[in-house]
Amino acid sequence: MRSCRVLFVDDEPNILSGFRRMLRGHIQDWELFYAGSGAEALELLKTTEIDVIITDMRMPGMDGAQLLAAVRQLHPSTARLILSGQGDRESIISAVGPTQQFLTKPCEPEVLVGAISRVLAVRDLVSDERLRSILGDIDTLPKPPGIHEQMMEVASRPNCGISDVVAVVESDLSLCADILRLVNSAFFGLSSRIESIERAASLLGLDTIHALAISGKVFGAGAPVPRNLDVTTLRNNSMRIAGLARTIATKEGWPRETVSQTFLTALLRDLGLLVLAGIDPDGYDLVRRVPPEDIWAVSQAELAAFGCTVPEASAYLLGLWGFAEPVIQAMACQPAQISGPPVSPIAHAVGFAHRRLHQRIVEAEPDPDSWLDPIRTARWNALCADLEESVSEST
Amino acid sequence: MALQTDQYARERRAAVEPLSPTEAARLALVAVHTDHAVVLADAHGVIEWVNDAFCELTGYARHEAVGVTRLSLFTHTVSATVVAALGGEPTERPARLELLTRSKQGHPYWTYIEVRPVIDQGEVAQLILLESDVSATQVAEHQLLEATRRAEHLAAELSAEKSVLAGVISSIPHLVFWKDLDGRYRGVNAAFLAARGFTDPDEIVGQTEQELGTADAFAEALGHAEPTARGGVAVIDQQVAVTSVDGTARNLLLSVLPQRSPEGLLVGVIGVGADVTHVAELERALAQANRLESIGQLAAGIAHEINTPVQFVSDNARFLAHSFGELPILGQIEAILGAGEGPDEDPTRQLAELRGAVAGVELAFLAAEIPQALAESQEGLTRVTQIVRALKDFSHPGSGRVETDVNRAVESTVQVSRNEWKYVAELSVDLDPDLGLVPCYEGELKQVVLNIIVNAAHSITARRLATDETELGRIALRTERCDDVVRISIGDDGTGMDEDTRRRIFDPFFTTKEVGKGTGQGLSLAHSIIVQKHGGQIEVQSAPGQGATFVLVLPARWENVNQSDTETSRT
Repeated sequence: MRSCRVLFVDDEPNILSGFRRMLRGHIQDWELFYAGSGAEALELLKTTEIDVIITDMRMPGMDGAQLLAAVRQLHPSTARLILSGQGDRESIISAVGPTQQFLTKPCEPEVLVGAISRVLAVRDLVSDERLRSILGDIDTLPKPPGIHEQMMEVASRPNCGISDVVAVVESDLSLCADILRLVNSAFFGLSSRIESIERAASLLGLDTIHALAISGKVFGAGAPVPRNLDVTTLRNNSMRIAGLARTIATKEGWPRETVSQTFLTALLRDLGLLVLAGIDPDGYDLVRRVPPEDIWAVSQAELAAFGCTVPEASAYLLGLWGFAEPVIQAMACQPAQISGPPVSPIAHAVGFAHRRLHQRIVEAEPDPDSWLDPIRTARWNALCADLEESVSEST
Repeated sequence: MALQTDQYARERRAAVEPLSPTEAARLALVAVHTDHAVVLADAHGVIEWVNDAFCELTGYARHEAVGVTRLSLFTHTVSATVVAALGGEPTERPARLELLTRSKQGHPYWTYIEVRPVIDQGEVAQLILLESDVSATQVAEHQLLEATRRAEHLAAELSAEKSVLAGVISSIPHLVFWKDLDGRYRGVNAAFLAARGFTDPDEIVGQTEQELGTADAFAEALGHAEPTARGGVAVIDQQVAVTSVDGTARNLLLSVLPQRSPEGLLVGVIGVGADVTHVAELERALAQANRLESIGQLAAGIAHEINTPVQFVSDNARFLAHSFGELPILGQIEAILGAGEGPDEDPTRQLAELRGAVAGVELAFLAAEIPQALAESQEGLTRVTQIVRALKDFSHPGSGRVETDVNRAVESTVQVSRNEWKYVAELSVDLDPDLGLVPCYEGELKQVVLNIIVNAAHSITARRLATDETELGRIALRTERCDDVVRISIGDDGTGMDEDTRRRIFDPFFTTKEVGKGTGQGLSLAHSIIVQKHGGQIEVQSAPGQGATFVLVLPARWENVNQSDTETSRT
């Protein structure tokens, strides 16, 4: 297997030589390429397969957003990052479509290397190059028709409040993902505190949401929703799992950042289905026939139909978008193994919440040495029962 | 009743002694020839005789009149006075009547009737009536009366008008004055008095400005405008600076106009001065806001300009730290040198250690890269320093109109706006080394240059977008000195503009940019800064597709700088 290839694009030669020197001590197994302009980068891509491209935003001739748009079209499986010295909202919004991650100059070597490493790491989750291309080609997720208009209408109201926006966003899993992806980007740099969509929306700010809605690049329709996918049920289930997982994490007294990561992992666990069901509707029909409570059978059916499981595809997308490593790891190992390599508490909480959705009571694991022992299982069951009760009371 | 009266009248006549023939003839002759109408009636007013003048006046023939009373010949109702005098009871007192009546034919006329009773033995024996047409007199009198009344009315109106006018003039918050051709004040309003610290117009009227001898710089302010107006040419809206009573500086917008007599002869001048001190302050605030706005706009670009070198300087620093971390060579070199110095020390061991330490290191790579990393870092730091200095330079507001290095002002503006143009255009700067120092409001001048450069970049962007052009556009800056002026020209090869746009570009709030891209203040402000504040000019050459060139023309010497400008700069 060849080593990973990373391409840096910047019109400032000193930046490129700075990277060359700085990265020399950091990496052994990466092959580094440099280009002084968008045109030069595209020329190189004709002959050389590149895994990650990192470009400056403002360059004479073709700018970073234009370059990445071209790369997305020609080489969709190449991960696309922007490293910009321009910290303004407008330039971020203009590049939001083809760009998977934003980094800002000056950027610490650890941050840069970390971002590249994470993107390269998720490539192992999806081994099929064709599937990687399809996932990499996504700029906006499929959304039900009319939702963009609804978003525009709400955001344009003179007295629009965060709760109005949140109501629309929470009605659709794609919109949730859009918002979370933006808040999570390095530009906003706020990912550690997202425990709800409302929190994400208020961190992003109404101004930005409004500007994004108008640009049409984020909340726009994207590909059509897969014909046999029930997006309402998908959204309802995702919200319920997220609520259960968050309750578990909160009541366990986990640190705030872990609570946030648990929430994100649970909410976006099935995001990949929006893409996979669209690629192969017949395969999805087969998966749908498996009873949902039989979690392992569902997972096997996904693997057989799509070439990867739904959580793997979701983890791949979040990896491209630069979500935190614990989120991606916890998601990639869903459904959480009963026996096998130990997984994080986040993975356990999300797995538990997911099972709880389809099973009345989650059975304790047979292995008494498991982290999720019978006592913890009983406690989590009780927490979930309390929450389900309060939810059914309030409705 | 009439019959009875006639009867009686005849009886009375019978009782009158006849006149002697001579007397009668003489009397008759008088009565016949007089212009007045004459009526002889008995004591009860029954007419016995009338003359021809009467017939002519009243339109009645003699036979119609004789035998009836004078009263009964009136075809209209008459007042009680007339009835009392002419009919009914005989009275000894003579009467005079004047009334509007009609002839038998209906012709209206004013008649004057004098009634003279003839007393015989203590009794009224007869009445003599003298009548005349006084219409002409009446009309004349009426006209006179009317005229008098009209004159009185007019006088009242005039005096009301005059007091309104005086009230208006005195309540105008602007300074108003009028002078004769000798420069003596003929009148001033209340605002003028108050502004100059006087209370009564008499303190000023009749005096010249020199005789007043005030120290409020008003004489200087008038110095240019008044002689011009005296020459018959109006001076409109000239900005002048004066000192108010409390010593604070005020800005006046002064107009001095020639005053002409109805015949068109010059008789004096009229002056109006508006206190625009607060307007000037507003303008200053607007200019300040515009500068802050453009600094805000520039901030993102400047951040980019600074973040780029910071990125590679810190990368290079990392590299150097890492390299020297790999190479604890300095200590080893010291050891080798130290070992070589001692009498019984052989540096061979230390040398071997050093070789071991550098074995895994690409020495040639480091030898090439380290000096280069240092040089590039040095360059990066120089760039940061430059941009910070230019920003500081640019942000410095300057203090009034002072000798300014225009070339440097242009250069620092080009520097701070670099990020606005460098992706769309190549910018060339051609500065005249003999430009010298120019009296300028430096901050404002840089603002104008910035606005025009940013406009040029936007215009080039628009053209490149429209034509899908990939070549960079061109912006050319030039400074040059031509005799008494310096010219700063800023040319671009952007979209250019048509005649209609060109005519409107200096209007406030006029903009061709999309909403949110510009407030439409930039060029309007440029115009007020260059033309009004500096007494210069802005020339624009442009046509659609031909780009645009703006030329700022500034007076280069203090002598050419308007007197009023130096005043403003002092404030």
